[in-house]
Amino acid sequence: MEEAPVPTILPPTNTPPVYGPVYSRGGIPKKHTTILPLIIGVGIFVLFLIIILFTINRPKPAPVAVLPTPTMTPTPTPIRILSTFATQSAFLQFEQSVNALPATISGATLSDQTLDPPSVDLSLGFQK
Amino acid sequence: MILPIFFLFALPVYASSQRSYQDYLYQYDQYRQNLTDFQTAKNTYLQFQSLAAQTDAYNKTKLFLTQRDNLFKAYLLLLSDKLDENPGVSPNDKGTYQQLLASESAFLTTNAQQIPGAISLNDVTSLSPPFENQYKTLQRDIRKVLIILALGQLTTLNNSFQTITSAAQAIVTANATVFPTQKQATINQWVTQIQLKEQSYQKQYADLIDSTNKFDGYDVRELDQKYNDILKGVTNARQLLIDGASNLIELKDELKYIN
Repeated sequence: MEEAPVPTILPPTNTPPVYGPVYSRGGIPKKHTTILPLIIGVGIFVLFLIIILFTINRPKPAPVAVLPTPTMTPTPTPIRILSTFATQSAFLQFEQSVNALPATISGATLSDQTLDPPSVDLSLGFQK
Repeated sequence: MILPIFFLFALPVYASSQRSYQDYLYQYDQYRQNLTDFQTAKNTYLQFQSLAAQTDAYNKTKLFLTQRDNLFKAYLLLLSDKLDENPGVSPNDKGTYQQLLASESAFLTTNAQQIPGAISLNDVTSLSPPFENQYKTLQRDIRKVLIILALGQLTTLNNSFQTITSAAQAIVTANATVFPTQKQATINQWVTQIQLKEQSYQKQYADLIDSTNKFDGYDVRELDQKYNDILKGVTNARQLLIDGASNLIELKDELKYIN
């Protein structure tokens, strides 16, 4: 008896349809690989912004005081001209009185400490 | 010629105050001694209640009460002399406050005169309450006189200030055309400043007089508090005079130079 011929047509297999490229397991792309440059970019931008703000708000250095260079000739004192009556004895006496007045007023004793009232015992205290 | 005559009048006044002060110090020493003796005698009597202790307490109480009156009389005399010597107190005020002192002194004299007549310890101890009752009035009148003395000192200082201010004003008026316009404006500013100080002083002084006239208190503690407040006012008034004197120096410097 002849063996039945092996059918050439293979039974259909359940192969899923391929809709796109098939990657190997290790080659699946991760999301952070695309976000990372964005984060770095934003970071650089923020850093740049901080630097700008810092530069703008930084207190300005105090202007360097220009010290006068000492010279050998001193600044001349303005010449004051005495009044016509300033040398008269009446004015000189007035000047002396005026100059002494503040010390006279501040040095005067207004309240004499030696006149403080005596302190005495009032109640005799014979009641026990 | 004038100077010896001045001292001739000044010396007795000075001596009078000095003498009454020395007497006051002596009376105070006596008082302290009598107080110690009285306290010892009283404590002995309270402890032993013996007749001898009672007699001793009676005698020491008499001495103590007499000396307490004498101490205040000496003190009032000192105040009276100080009032007389103070050139800043007006004759009218001197009269008023001398009368006040005389009235207090008369009370003490009357009180002291009753002490020798006390025949027992009970009698003599009954003479203390009138003094105790009068004590607040006495302290009030004493402080009033002390305030008047301080105000008198203040018035003397103000008189000196007024004299020099008048002299400055006379110089300003006499030389009104001498100075350039700008300089004259500065001079006028100082004159105005001095006048403002004078006005402030006058107001402060009037307030002090008013406070003195109303001066009273519930007890000695309150009297002391009010007395110290018035003294602070006196010091403030003095400060106004010091400020005015500083302004006078500025004015003098302006007047001294033409530019």
